[in-house]
Amino acid sequence: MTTWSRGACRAAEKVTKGQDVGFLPGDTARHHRAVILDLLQEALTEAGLTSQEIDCIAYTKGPGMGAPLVSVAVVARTVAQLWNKPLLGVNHCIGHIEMGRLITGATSPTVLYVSGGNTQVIAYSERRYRIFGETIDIAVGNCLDRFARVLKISNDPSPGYNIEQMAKRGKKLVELPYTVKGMDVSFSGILSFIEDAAQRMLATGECTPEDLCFSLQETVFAMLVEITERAMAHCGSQEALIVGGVGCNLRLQEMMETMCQERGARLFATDERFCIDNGAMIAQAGWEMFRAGHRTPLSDSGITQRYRTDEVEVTWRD
Amino acid sequence: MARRSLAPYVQRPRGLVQKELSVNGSALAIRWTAEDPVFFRISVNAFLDQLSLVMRNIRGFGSPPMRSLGRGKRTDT
Repeated sequence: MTTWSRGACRAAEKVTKGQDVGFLPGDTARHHRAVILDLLQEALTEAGLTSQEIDCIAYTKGPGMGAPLVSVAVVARTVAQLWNKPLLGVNHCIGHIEMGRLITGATSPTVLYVSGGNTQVIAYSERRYRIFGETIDIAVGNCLDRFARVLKISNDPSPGYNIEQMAKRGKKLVELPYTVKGMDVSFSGILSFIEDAAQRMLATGECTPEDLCFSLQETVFAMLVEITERAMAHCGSQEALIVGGVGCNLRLQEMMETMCQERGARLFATDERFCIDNGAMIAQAGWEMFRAGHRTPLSDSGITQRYRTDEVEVTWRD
Repeated sequence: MARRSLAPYVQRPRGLVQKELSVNGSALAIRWTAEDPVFFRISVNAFLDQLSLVMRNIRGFGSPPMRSLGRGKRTDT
């Protein structure tokens, strides 16, 4: 199991706290290298396990930032050799899906995967997690984070959380670009509009920062609900599952719940313990892969920054 | 062991800098080929960071098992 990823992510927040930037690959990798071995020992101690009781070593093969992925993969390969355990390279997106399925009990949902790095609508079909729709430019979480930077909203605890709190106090819906192209969405236009118009609108009193937060959420979340509903209609699906860091947002969950109710479908969502990137989700997906007979040879254990969700053959599901 | 941990990191050709790893007895040898000294320095620094991590990992978590490595074999019976 790879509980070190969870602790590393929480600790990584400290890397960016107080700064006006997101996660930088070099800083994040440096942090991971500094803490990973202590975190690994801490995980074993907390679980009360020895290396002999570990079944396999699961690590994130991708997608993601290259330098941090390399730092963790190097340790995974080393402990796999030290302890003579099989190695499993896990797709990060599938980690989210498998953790969501485990925690919520959803059987075969249409998945809305929304985070700072990914925005996809996914459904399982014939041994693959098929991508039915996705962003054609930036992820929705990236849009929210960069919007927060324009308005100088704090990173503490996270820009998305602060936007959500401010949005609750918004009173006016400002019309923003709404861009759905078939099954796909685009967020770069909204961001460009905000970067161009926000300061002027605030200076003239046309709206407040809270109004902009409210308007941004209503717009981007409506786009996500639309493409998810379209996928559900296409698949005849009666379940929807939200995963990824942006899935913590209660307004998004509320809008998705409304759509599901109107369709007679059921919504599944988790809380921040499992929405946000964590090591347990990689362990869960790795466990499924291990039981199905997957193994990652050392020679094939390199990381890849662009690892598509549908590249993995899902042999652990019917 | 260190070479196996680091080999996938160096296998992908990175254009301006090439690396080759080999083992000679108990020594790990790395050969860099680069035209630009700046990229060479960046590559060396990054590699040494990873090598340091591997060495700390090996020192901290024990020696490799005496018997030959078997894929998927459990140490308990």
